[in-house]
Amino acid sequence: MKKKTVLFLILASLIVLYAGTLAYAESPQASANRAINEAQDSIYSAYKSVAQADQAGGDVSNLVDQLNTAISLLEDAKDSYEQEDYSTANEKAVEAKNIAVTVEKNADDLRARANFTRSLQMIVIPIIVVLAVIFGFIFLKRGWKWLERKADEEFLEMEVVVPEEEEE
Amino acid sequence: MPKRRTEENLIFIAVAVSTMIVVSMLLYTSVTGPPRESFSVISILGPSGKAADYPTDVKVGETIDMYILVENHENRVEYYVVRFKLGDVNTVISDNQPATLSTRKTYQQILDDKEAWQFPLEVSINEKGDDHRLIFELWRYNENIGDIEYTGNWVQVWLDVG
Repeated sequence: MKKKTVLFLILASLIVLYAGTLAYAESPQASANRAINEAQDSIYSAYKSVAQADQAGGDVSNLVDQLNTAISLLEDAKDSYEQEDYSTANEKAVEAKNIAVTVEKNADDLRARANFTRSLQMIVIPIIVVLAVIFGFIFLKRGWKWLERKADEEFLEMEVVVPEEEEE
Repeated sequence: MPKRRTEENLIFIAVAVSTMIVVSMLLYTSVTGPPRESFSVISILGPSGKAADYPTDVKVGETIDMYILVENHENRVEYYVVRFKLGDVNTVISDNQPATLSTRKTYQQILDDKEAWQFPLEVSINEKGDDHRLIFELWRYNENIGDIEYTGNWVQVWLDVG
């Protein structure tokens, strides 16, 4: 009797454990759907970083190409999902997400570099302008003085010419 | 003589200041450039890829041979989404309000500034009838709101499906 009770309890535990696993396990359809949503979110997030890098003055053309590849993969994943090929849909969506995550990281790096270059320009350009103004001013002043001296010399070299009177 | 010098110095300062103002303005213009208008474009092209020879009659289930062209002139990178909707004479759509119809197909692409994107439609209609209205709305992702928004640009083609 005791043996039977123990056996029953073990069996019942196994059934409960199996049912629990089934309940929590994701179906291929749900898994593909989740992967597609995650890929779309990652692409939006990566685009946000790319747009920021673009506004910071970075060259984003390469990142745009990569992100468009991710979009294309996502579209393929959606098509596969509609055709109930959940395994392919999941695979393509995961690939799209991975590309988007890489693009986001690279875009963040590019934005940081572009911001640094811009900051440098903000410091260097005013210095160049100020120096150019100072040198320009000195150059103009010297040029002006040279013109003045030349005018004075010409004035001093002037001779009074008196026309000779004709003899009558 | 001192009066002449003062006068000449004043002229010099006036010339120097004017020159600096002109140079600064030229520098500013060359660095910033003239202000540019920003806009997006969506258009439908015929089977030859030109804005001509649009089909007016198709058969049920037949793939419609046309292209959509999207151009980015927003002076920045843009994430565009084209939504295809099937309407009729009663469908209401405007530059402020998209059509309240379900989206049949979505196309999306990120475009660099001044970049264009042309793609084939690859759609077919399975409902017989006259005056089918193929509507293509241009949306874009707005990173500030974290969602796509209607740009107010849309195009359409009227089709009889037999």
